[in-house]
Amino acid sequence: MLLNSLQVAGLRCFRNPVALTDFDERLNIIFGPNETGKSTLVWGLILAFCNRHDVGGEQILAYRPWGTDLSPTIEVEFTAGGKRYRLEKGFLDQAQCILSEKAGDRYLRLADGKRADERVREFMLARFPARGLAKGSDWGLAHLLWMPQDKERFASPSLSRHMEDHFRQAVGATLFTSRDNRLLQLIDDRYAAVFTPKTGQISAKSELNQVRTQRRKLEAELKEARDRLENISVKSSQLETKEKQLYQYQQAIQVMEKNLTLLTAQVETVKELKSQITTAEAEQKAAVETWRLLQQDWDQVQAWTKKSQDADRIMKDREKELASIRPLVKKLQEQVTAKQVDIVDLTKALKSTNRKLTHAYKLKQSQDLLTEINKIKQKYTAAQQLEKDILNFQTELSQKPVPTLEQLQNAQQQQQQIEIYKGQARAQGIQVDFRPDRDFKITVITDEGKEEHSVGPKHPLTVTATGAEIQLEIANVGTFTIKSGAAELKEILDQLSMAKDRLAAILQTCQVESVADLQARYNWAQKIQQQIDNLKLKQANILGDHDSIDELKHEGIVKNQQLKQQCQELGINIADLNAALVADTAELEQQTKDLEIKQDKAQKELEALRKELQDKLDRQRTLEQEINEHQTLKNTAGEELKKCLANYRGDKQQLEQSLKKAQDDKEQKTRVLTQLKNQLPPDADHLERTAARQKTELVKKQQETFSLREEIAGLRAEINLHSEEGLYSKIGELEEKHEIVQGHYRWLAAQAQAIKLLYQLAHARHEAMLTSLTDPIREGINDLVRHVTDRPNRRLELAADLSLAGINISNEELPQPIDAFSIGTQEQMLLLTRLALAHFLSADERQLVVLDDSLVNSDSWRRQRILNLLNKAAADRMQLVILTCHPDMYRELPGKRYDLASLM
Amino acid sequence: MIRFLHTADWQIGMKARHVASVGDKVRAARLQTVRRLLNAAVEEQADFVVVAGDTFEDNQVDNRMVHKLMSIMEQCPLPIYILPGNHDPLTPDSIYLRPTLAGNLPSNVHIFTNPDPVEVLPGVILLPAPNFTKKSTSDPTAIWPDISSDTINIGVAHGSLMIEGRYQADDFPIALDAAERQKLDYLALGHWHSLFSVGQRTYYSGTPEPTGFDEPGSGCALLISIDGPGEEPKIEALETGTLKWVRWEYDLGAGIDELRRWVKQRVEEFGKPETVLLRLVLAGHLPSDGGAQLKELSEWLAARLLYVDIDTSRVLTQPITANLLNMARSQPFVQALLSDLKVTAEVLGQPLTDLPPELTAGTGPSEELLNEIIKKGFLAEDAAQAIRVLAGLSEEV
Ligand SMILES: [Mn+2]
Repeated sequence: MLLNSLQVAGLRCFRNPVALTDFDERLNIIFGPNETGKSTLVWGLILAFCNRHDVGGEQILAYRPWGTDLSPTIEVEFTAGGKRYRLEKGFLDQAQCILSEKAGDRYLRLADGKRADERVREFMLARFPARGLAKGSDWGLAHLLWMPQDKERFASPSLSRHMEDHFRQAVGATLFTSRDNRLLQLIDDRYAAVFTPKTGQISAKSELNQVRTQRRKLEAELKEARDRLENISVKSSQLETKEKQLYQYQQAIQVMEKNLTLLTAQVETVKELKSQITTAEAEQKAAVETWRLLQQDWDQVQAWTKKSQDADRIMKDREKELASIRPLVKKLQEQVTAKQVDIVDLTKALKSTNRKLTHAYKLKQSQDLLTEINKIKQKYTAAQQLEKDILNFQTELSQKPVPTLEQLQNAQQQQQQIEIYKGQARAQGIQVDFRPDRDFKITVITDEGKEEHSVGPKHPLTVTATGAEIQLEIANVGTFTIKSGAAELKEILDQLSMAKDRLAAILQTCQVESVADLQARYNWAQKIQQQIDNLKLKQANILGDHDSIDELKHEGIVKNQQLKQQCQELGINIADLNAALVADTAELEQQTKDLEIKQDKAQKELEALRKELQDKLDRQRTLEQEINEHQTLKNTAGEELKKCLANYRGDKQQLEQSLKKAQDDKEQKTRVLTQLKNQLPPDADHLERTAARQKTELVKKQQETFSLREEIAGLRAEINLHSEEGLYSKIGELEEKHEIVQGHYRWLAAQAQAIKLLYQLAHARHEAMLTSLTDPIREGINDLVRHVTDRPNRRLELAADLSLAGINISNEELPQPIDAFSIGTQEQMLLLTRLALAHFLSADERQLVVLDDSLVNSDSWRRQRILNLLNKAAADRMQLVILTCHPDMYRELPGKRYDLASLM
Repeated sequence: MIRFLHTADWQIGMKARHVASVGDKVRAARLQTVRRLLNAAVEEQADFVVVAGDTFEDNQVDNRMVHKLMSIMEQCPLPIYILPGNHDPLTPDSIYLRPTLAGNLPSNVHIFTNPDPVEVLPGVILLPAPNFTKKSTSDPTAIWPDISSDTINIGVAHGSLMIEGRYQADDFPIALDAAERQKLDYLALGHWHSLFSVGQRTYYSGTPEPTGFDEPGSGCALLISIDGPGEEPKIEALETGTLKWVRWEYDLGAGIDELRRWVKQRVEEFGKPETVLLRLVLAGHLPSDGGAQLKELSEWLAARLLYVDIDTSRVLTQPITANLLNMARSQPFVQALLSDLKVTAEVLGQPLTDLPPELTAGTGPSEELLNEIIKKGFLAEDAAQAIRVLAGLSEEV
């Protein structure tokens, strides 16, 4: 389609009609400053071609000139398919649409109203929306080729499905037909009937969802009903349990009643038996008492009889024994008297022997004492002799001074020191030791002068000098000079002198000449002292325990006096003492011992006799006493027996018979009682209590049975109530309904899945085919892009619908979004996209391309390139209408120019 | 001579999920049948009626049904003896102990609540064997006492005859010689829904109204005549069924037109087609455009019969129609789409055969899309169905 003329009125800034006529079929530049309505012209075209004349709503009102009631009218002349048409379109108050075709020099009306709208729409491949103005994507070719200002400016043109056919024709492709398109539309419709296309979820209004909801509802109802029925089943099983229980209870009650009857009879029997036992017990008790009293009497009679007999027997035994003891007593008394006489004789003999023994002892003692005194006298004489010898040695020792050991050692030490000093002096000074083998004369010359010496084998020469040198002059031989360098020799000689003085002092004290003498003196003193010590030791041995000679002497005197006294006692002179005869003490001692043994024996025998005698006497007395006692006892027993038998006329036999009778009676009564007691059952005492308890249990069980019956009745009523309600039928109906709905649901669900699968496959396939369709267009666009940008790697990425997906810079994987680039670049890319699309769409006839100030933001270099492209495109196959406020920019382009300002 | 009607398994209140859409009608028909068979008993001058168990579908059947049944029985002048079966056993919650029934029992209706022999007519003894549970492994007839052979003795029991392979151990097994052992003149059994007999004296009457498609020999009651003690009974079956349950099998080998002819002819033979429930089981190969024809046939049947179920689960259906094939030949998009569906079906494990190879030469969907399809849980059947949908749409383009 190409534009021949355009006239607008009542449209925004165009209150009055403005007409642009005789458009160039190649290039037209409409210019004017801002706000002169360039863009409005484009919107006028869009209103005319892409909207219904009777469109309503807010949006169309905005096209009235500001503050007026004027209505937009647009008149367009255009050429399409080689024919020329006129479109007269008015909106709002002037709503109309008339399409005419030029025949010769006049227009013939082709259609008006809605039909005319439709025809025009078809030219543009546009779509009318249900209400309001058409959006960019509805505009068809205008959307692809016209580039208006305002909000649509940066909208990427995209290939909506309704245009694909046209496109296909344009590129000569037949892959996707309109029949395919309709099929795809049908698939979409089917899909949309089940799913919400945006989310892919089953839509709420779909039949599938409704059936599903219905099914769920039914299932819920069914569950509720089944639960309730289940509840009844529970009640039924409860009922069953209770009935069984009731039956058991009834059985139990029967058994219990039977037991209770038996038990009651037993209780009666026991009561009777017990009363009989009570009577029998009383009788038996009386019989026992009678028997007991008789037995008591009997026992006493028996006891007293025995006592009397016992006493009698004992008495006789005692008298017999007494008769045997009496002669024994007399004999024993005689033996005691004889033994006493023996003992007196023995005592006298013992006294005499003792006296003899004492005398002999004392005599012997005195003789020993005398011997002792004589020994002491000898010791005394020896000790006195030793004393005298000691004194002699001591006197000899005191005649010469004796050095102490210390003095001796000191002297020896000084002597040594002197030798040491002498050695030192010899080493330091000049020493000449000369022993020739024959005698000759030698002169020694020192500092102190000349000394002449005669030397030979018996006179060695020893010279020690302190001077520096010494000369030895030997006659007829010459002089020898001996040199020395001693400096400390003087001091050594001083020390030597002092040592000599100290030694001399010690020797002086002891009045000796030499250390050897001193040693000799010391040794001599030591030897004497040794002899003294030996003597003293001998003396001490003689003295023994005595400390001194005087003490020994004193002891001799004391012992002598003692002896004098003893001799006086013995009536004997000391001189006669040794001659006196001493009796044999050993024999005397033996005699004494024998006598003592005899005396002891006699004494013991006497004691034994005395004891035996006493025993016999005691026994005699006891027997006599016992005989008396038993006599008394016997008398008492006789008295008591008489008393006991008084009730039985003194007849013991009568008592015995009565007792026997009572015994029999007692035993018979006891037997009767035992028999009765044996008849009593072992649990007799519990029987009554058991009976009472069982009765209570029975009553309880009966009550339980009543309540069980009530429960059963309740359960039955409840179950019946439910039956009345019709739950079973309801479940049956619900199950049937559910079956139907479920079947329907399954079918719908399978169908939905199939539709979903078909939808997805069909669209995937469609997109794949579309991609293959739009590929050449992509290439065309990118040729232009490379030409304009001069960047071979830069490439526009287009979606399947050809909308701009982004710009790929140098083979990066992800294209960058278009709005990441400068406004200028965006404008350029969109413009190039349009040019490329137009190139394809203009294959058969020229197509109108409208560019509304598209290059404002482009740099001059690119602008130049684009202008070249535009020029070429216009020359080749499209009609360009460029709206601009910078006409200079397009200066070099050919074509027709319209000054909008001047037209208004 | 005595004459009585032997029937069983009325199963009043039966659920009908298998023919859910006509459940109400099926239930109503069972009552109608009872009414009919009681009338027949009167017409045939029977002395009494014996129902050998399963009078009710369940002990829970609600009172509405109970009332309906009792009003029907009340109108019958004959004594009716009812035996509790395994569906309505004498459990504590038994329907027979329910006050609605027990308290309002018509005077001519007698429930066997225990196995005591009952003299129904002078010299005629009924020996009942009521079921007390839903299942039992003991022979219900084993409890009967010895009885004089001077009377006509009729046993009434509910259970399965112990025929190998035809009974389960816990399903009230009944000895095959129960009648002989008990010296019965006749043993009236219930439980098996088809007419069945062992010897001359042991009979299942079957249900008077079939309960499903697979009960041949049901839909009748037995009229028994016995001349005297020990005499062989004379048995006469009475048709009682209200609804006709029909199951047809057909192989599509002869083509769908032949099927249509076959079916229409047979339907016209029905006296009362509106009482017929039909299950048509098809087998064989259905041509690609057979679906529509089958649908049409189904609608035709539904308009005439009470219930129609065409079972095509054994039919191999070719989803592609001639129209779709034509479309695919002229439209590359359709051809590619078919190819996509074929590949999808293959991937999902069920290749679509019988597609002309030139129509499915395409590459199929992208790997990515196939993976997505598998992930979303589509089935091979969905692909076949999708082709059917596509075939349907191809008619609309
Ligand atoms: Mn049964």
